[in-house]
Amino acid sequence: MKLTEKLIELEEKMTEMLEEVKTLKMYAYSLEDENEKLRRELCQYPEETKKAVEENAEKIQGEGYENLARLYNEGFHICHIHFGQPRKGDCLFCMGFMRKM
Amino acid sequence: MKIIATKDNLQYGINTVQKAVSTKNTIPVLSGIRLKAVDNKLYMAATDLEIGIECFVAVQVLEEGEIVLPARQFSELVRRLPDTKIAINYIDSIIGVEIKYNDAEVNIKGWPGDEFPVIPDLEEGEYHFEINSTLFKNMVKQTVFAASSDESRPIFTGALLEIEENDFKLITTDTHRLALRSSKGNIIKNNNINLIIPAKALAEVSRIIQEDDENIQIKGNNNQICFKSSDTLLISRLIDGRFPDYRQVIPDKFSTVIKIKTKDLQETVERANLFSGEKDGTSVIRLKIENGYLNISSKSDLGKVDENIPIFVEGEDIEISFNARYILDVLKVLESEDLKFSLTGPLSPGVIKSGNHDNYTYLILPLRN
Repeated sequence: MKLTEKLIELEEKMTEMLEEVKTLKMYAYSLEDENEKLRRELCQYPEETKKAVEENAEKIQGEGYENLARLYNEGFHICHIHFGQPRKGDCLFCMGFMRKM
Repeated sequence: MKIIATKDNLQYGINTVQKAVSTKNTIPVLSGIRLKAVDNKLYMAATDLEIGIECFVAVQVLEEGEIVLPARQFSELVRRLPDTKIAINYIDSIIGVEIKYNDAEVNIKGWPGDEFPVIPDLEEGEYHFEINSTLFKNMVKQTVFAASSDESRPIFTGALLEIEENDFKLITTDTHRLALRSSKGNIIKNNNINLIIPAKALAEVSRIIQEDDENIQIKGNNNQICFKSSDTLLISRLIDGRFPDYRQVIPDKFSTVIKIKTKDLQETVERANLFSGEKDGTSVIRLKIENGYLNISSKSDLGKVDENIPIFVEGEDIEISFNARYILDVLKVLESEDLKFSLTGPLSPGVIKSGNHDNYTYLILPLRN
């Protein structure tokens, strides 16, 4: 085979490869777009779901506070140092904790 | 060991170290005071393995040596000695000493000096501070009484020593009240520490510091702390654990603030305390702030007290009960003519501060009706 023919063949192969790279590049773009779209969808809850979650959290917090206050009023520590131990009189740290909640 | 000493010097040394003598009988040598004669100084030491105290007094040393003598017999004897030259000589045959004064002689048996534990002075400590000794004595006096004596909650039987930059803070609480005293000191090595020191050890440091000692050196590591003045060294173990966040319990907003003469309040509370009907260590007195007056009242089976004190008041009227003993405790150590008493409500802690400076805070929980 002549040198010219070899060069022509090489040029054709390179053109083919370039085309393939272009196709792959477009495919990568589309994957990136899709990924971004899915990420946004995952992070974004609908308003009603958000509200329900917040309400639930407030309810749990309220119940938690009531439970702790009841435990304290029944004569037990709720501060982290002596949690659950019987107390004599009021405790500065339990009351500080309740004030902070 | 052969020394010649004066009664006053021996007495001073014994008084300094005696509080560290062990009262338990488990290790006999710990019920003694170690005497070590070196370089015209008599080093005296005692320890119960919780705290150790060592001091030195000037004596004439004729022969160096050491011995441990039973603390009770030795201190009682020295207390009763005449005010004259006293010679103390080691006698090998009895492992003890002969004490000679005037024409008399007393023999006391002891233990060999090397059986006594070494009291380290923590020269290579992880931290090193110094503070004016009179100031430190005052810090201890204003806080140590608020520590708990309940050994089942060890953290509260100690005082938190918090040092940040040059700010020294000492904090104690028994969870019903809290005392916080801050001041300035010098940092020599390491600038941020947070240690819980047994309140008993601090009270002992305060007792043995002389008013004329300029500065007290504080050194140590995470297990032990050492206080050193010109002639005395006290070493104490530290209390393990984490002191609770005291900042979160100090209120910063108040509905009622009164200013009152410390002496007026102290005398009235002392009278009211007589009829407070003490029960389980709680003496209830009632405080009512109304129309520029503080009304303090108490009632028991034996009688009642009802007194009005004119005050300067800002904010709302309030009725609140306190344990009289907790109020009296702080009034005894508050060294100011006036005080500021701030309240938030009948269930929130009251805050007492001295009238002229802001370096002392005392929190006290009210009693429920």
